[in-house]
Amino acid sequence: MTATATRTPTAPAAPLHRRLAVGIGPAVLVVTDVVTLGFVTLGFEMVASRILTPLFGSGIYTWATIISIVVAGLMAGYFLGGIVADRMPGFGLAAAIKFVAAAYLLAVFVLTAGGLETIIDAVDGEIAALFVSGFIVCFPPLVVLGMYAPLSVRLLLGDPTDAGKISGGLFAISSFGNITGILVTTFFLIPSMGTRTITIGFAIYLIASGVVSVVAALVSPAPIRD
Amino acid sequence: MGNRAGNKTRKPEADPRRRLLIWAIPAVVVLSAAAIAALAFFAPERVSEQEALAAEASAEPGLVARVESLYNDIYLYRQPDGNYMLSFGARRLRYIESVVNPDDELDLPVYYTQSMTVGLAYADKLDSAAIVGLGGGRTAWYLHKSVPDLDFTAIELDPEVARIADRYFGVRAEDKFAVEIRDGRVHLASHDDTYDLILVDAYRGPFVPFHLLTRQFYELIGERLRPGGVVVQNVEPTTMLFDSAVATIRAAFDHLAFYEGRGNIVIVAYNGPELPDDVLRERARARQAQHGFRYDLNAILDRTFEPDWDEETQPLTDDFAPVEYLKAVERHNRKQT
Repeated sequence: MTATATRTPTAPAAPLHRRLAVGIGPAVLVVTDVVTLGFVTLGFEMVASRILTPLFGSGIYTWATIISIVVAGLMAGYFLGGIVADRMPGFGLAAAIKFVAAAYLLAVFVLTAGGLETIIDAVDGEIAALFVSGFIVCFPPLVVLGMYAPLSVRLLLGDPTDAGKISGGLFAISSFGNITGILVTTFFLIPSMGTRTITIGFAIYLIASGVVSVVAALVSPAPIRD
Repeated sequence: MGNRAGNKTRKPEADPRRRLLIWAIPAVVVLSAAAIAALAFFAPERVSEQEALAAEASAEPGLVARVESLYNDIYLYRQPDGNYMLSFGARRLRYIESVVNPDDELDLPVYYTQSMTVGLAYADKLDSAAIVGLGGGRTAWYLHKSVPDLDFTAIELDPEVARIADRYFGVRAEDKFAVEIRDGRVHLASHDDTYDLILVDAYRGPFVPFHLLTRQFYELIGERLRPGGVVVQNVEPTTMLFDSAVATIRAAFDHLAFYEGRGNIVIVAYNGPELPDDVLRERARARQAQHGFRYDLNAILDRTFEPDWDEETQPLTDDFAPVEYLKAVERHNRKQT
């Protein structure tokens, strides 16, 4: 017995990259940003642990503080980024995110020359000082970097029926960037150069990447479909 | 329009399964939280609880207690010779932290801990001392019992380590002996107390926490030493970390001396004028006569030697201190005599 399936002839669907809201070039830029910003995000978490440990020890409380503040920063960033991305979708916003994050990392670079200790000395209580300094070092840059995740979805999504594939793919790519950021920073960057050098290196990268986003914004000023 | 005139639209009945789900989710959360709270409330005292773990794992000979602390997996063994052995680590990687003779509080079974007492000959006075890293507490207790007037502060990060030292080794806070549960550097930075002698023996498994091996840490130690005070540091010499440790301590102190510790090297560092050998010997003789140390200070001074180390090595700083990497690189072609 042979079952005969009846197939309705349909036009072949366009491949996913042709259904994106942007062309292949800007799409590659978005994916690259997602990987590298993911790298910087958790790479900087490892750097933050090296900044805070001399001040508060290497205990479990220091790590719990850093991790919770990093996640809180990302939480706020995802939320804010979603709102802002709907209002100002485009590579101009991507550039702004990178420039602000870079500016804050430069501020961290300056603070770690001694200013952070002065701020901490003004706070009563060790745990309070730990949270305040963790907040100062980690929260603002993580909020800003977290904003890129919803923007990346907004930049690429052309067809609502692709929302699952695109958002899932971007989250996975971002997590890959997170993993490489942790491993490369821990096993290569920290043993090779100082934490302050890494911080300024991340800032320089973000500025350079922001310039690329500015160019992309000028080349395709309004690539987003509603 | 027609609806408004006559047929009233009925709100659809809620699906009973959906309603059940809406109640089930918060119920599961609340029940889980209650179960965790109950477990925490009825949990027995920590060390006893962990002893139960050890009893379960009684297949391992000599294991007396196993404690999972905030910072370490701690294993306490009773060896066939009667000594306790305290070690940290996981199932396949355990690092011996202390060996303790429970029947003799002045016994220092580990050779390098005897060498750590050399600081007694270097310090100008013996009024106040501290140790960063209590461990089994052998060195600290030896100094406390040998010099009864010495105000001793033991700083230990892990409360379970201090609890084991108290319960099994009798090392506990008493007159002239304080135990501070805190990170050593944080404690020194947040107190203005000064000491004649500071010992540093803080390890977590094979690693020294990086912030306890930087120029800034040793500068802080220098600030907490009284005039004529000394710091004594235990260093494991087989990796590149040894060169970095020596370079770092040298960056913060005027003078360094090295003492053999059979597998470890004890570094003594101090500021001010250099102590000539005859002054050290005379001081050691006088203090030996006064306190009757179990391990003769003059014999400990004989353990001095000059290790080979790379003088080009850069000191470690808070900004750049790859201690884990340096610890992983063996020092080839160098030997300690």
